[in-house]
Amino acid sequence: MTAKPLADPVRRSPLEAVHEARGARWRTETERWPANFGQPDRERKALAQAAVLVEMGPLDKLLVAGHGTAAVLRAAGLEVAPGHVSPARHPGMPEVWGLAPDEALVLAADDALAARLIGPGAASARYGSAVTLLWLAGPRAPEILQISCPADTRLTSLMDLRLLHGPIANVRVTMARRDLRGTTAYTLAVPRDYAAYLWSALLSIGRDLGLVAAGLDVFEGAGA
Amino acid sequence: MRMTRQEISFTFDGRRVQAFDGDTYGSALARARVDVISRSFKYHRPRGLLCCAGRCPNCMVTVDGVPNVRACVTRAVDGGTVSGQNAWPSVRRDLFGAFDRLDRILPVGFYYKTFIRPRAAWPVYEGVLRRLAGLGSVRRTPRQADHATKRHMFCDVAVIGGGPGGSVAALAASQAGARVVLIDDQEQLGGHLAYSQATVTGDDVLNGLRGPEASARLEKLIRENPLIEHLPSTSAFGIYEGNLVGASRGDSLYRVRAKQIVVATGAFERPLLFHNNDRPGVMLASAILRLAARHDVRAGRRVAVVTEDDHGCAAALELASSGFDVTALVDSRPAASDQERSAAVRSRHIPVWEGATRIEVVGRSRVRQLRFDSGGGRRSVNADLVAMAARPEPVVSLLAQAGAKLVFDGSTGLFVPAECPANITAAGHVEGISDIAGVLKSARAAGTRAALRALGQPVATPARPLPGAPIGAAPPPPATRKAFVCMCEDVTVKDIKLAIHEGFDALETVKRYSTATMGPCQGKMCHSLSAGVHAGITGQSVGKTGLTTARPPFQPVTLAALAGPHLAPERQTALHDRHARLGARWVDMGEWKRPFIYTTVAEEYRAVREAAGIIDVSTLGKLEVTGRDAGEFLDWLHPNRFSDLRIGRVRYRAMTDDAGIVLDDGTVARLGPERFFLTTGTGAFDAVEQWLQWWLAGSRRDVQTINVTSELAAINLAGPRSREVIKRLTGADVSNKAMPYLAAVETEVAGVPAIILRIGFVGELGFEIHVPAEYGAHVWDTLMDAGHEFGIKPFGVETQRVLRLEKLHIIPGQDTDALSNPVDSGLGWIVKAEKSDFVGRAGIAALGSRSGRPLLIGFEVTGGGVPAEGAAVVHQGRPVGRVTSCKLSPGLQRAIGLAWVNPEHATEGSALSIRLGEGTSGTTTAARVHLAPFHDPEGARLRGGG
Repeated sequence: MTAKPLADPVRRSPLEAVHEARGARWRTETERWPANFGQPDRERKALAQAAVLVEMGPLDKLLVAGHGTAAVLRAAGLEVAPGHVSPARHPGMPEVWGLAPDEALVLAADDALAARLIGPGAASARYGSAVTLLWLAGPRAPEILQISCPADTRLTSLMDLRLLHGPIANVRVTMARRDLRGTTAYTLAVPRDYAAYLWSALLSIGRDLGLVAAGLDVFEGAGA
Repeated sequence: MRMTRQEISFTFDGRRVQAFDGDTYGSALARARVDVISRSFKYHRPRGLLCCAGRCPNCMVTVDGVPNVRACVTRAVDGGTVSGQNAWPSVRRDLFGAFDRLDRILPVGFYYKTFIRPRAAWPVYEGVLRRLAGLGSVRRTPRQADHATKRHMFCDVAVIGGGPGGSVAALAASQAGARVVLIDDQEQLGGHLAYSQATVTGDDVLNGLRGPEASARLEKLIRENPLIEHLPSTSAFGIYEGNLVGASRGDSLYRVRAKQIVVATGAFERPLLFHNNDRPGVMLASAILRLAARHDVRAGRRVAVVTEDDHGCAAALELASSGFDVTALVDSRPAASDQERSAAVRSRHIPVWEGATRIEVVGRSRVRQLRFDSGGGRRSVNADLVAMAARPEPVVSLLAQAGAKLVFDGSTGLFVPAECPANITAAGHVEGISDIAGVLKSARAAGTRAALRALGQPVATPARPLPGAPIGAAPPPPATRKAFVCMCEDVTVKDIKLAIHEGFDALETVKRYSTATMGPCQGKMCHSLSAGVHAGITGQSVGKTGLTTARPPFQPVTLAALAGPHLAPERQTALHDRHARLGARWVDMGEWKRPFIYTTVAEEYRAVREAAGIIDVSTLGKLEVTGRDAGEFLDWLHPNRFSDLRIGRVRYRAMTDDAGIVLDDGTVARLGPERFFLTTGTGAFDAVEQWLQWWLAGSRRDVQTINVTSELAAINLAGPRSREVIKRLTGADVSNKAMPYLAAVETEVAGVPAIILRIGFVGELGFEIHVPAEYGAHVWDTLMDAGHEFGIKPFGVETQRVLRLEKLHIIPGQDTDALSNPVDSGLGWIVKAEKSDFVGRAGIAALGSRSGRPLLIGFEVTGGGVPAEGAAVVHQGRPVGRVTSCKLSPGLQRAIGLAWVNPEHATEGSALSIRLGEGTSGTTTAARVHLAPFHDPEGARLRGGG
């Protein structure tokens, strides 16, 4: 017997309530991520002149762990060095982050790929909910990291397509430098439970530098 | 300073003061002829501007409610409110100024001797003393330091000091390709060049320029250099391990990590010792020149210069060139050693008095006259300013903090760095170099050297010339009552003499007893001065006396800067917003926010026991443990066994350390042949994950662990009607036959992939549902909708605690401690002694040899009241145990709980007495040992048949 669900599943951002309070315009009602916050021009301008903070998503992710990680990734046609980001080589291929020698995060992964990323000495688990990705971008984004993170995040140290693990506002975060069309940008991977705190903390820290909360329209408009 | 001359105004102690935009509060007060700006710490003596560089304590005021602001370096703001400190009713007329006349009965350490009896009265004495002596008052109302910022900076070379040496060192380092952070406590670069009339020589860039021009050139070059980041008005207060420089500006903190550090803190004049050397109008010569050059303010008209070396001649000439009427140069030496310069002074018709002794300032709130003995008679010189012109001393404190070795150079009478740590380079005046050409040469070389080292190129450290031969015993200090060594703490020469006389004869003990060098200036004005006085009194050389230990902070730092913005991480579950909408009251559990209660314990309790309740248990730690050896690995880590757990079953787990002490508990579900799903307690997750990783490291086991705590939201649905609720949301057969107690099923709930565990912490038919966190709120909403007709209600942590106590389920960490083993904690049933080995086996096995161990038991209160957690269990007035958990059960209508008691009191039905109040004076209540669960002792409801 199959019971009929009472309602279609709704996928929610950990920041849904925070976005709602900020006047979010939702992308869809079943995937509650904001397209913008009612002032798309202001958000675009902030990206060009100061900085924006965007919650990326929804995005399926996989965590692959174990000493066989590199081998199962290779078998699936993927490769990444520890501390590096391997961008999607072509549409349909995922982006891979080399979190550690025996750990990788695969972004935009589907079930078929998940099944292939298990092998001797390696396991994978769905990680779509576990990690929230925040996109911090704009000319003043490096300054915001300087204020909030004790690690060396200078442009010359954390270069494009490189990863850095370090605390931001006292929360452990993995930072990936992912410049887009000349815009300095970072993808911050934070455990979901801390996402609301980090979102508020970053906006507070970056307020004087012109940091603005923005929706996915800005992110996609930047060439992501 | 470029002055726009735009007029502004502020108030000082209620009086309106006109100023110009660009003025500091200090310069504006000097222009307005406000002589008394503060009162001294102990004697409440009037004090005025002294250093005009933010180093001394004399100009500390309260600005817009913020105490201890240095007026001389703080920009005046239109409409600002400035008030004096440590005075009543005002700094101009301070009634406590009478203390100045009581100095004979207030010697150093007087309060150690005077206020020791009666002992009980010390708090009263302390309160009075603290009110009478001190600095500004901190605001009573707490304020968030939201405006405070912390900035983390990284560079190849950090240069401390923006004088000529530091500026040139920064430029040289950048020319070598290094990224530089230049930290300077002044608003403008160039240091003393900005007010020096001398022409710069010996440097390609600055050659031939006069001081102010050279200063402006440096400022421009640095501003235009993209490799240099300049932090103006920022004080470096410490050099710490790992090449970390701490610096602050107001409430902003800078943590600068540099590969190399150049210390170019320069040299600075110090006060001279004579009677009333602290009167308003007695200033450092450099301060008078700085005020004139930077703010166009003449602190007085007629200046008498007091000196003890050739620096006095240079100062007198500079002052005369700057338009001051120099009425005398009073030199304590029998004759100047630089006769050429002395002649130059005389040629300006400045009277020069040599061999001066018994120097004394006349005037109370302002200098009127300088008196001294010279040429066989008592002399008087009229002056409204006294310039103290002593040879500038290298500012070596930061170098000393960083581990540099200091030596006393007998030829100059200065402490200079002899050897610096590998990552530190001294540059310019701080090396003891006095001529500007030498300073610039030293700084350029130091900057280049530091840059090359930072960029990985080997550079040899040049050999340093040996310091001059040590000189003999220091001269005795002047015998006067009011010659102040330490302006911050009001320590006089007489005080140091007394301290030494009382046996504090080492410089470090004199420092602690007299508190000299321990005030807000942190020794900048008095570090070497106190060493010189000590040497003079003890008949030693200054070199042998040495300096006291330099420690951070070199400059005061606000607590707001150290605290920074309020950044306390908070964890929220995927259902946080749902709880907020339901009006939950929150409880902090570590960083987690959890719903403590929604309505009342009684209401929530009834829902769970009679219908259905749901609770958010997302905070449980969750791990996927996979691999060929996963089962065996879990066996190794636990006293019980998991390798034999059937797929689709779940089992209780309690983990012990090597000594057999309970670390944590939870469940293990087997979801596949090589796939286990492990849950931990809310607070134990990090420790458990590390424990697993520790045992895995190098073990060659084929085991992988993935932390899925954040990935999965978890909801516990419990109560006699819970099956009816979940039945509506899943296609899985949830009957007791298909999904019995301790079943583990992967299925869908509300259209979402889920793991269901048939377990029940609260002692009812229960389903622990784990779903991807992004769908957590959807599943919660759907459960609430589906359960509406069955009377479903959410319940919080407080109700859960009551429910679990009725089952006597323990919570490790609350009901156990660092000595609790599973056997004594009532978990002996999980220990499988037949297992070959496991972590903690030896510890548990050794328990048999120890008798009299306390046991964890359940109890019910029969005498009324609810004992607090931690309350003592007593027998005939002696403690025999302690309560770990106790709650009032709405079902039983009495308090129940868990307690550790000695074994003789742990038998069923034993009578106990438990304290209700705190300490030993509280009343007690009667209780009775109850070893079986209070609720459903057979477990029929938990198993949920039917």
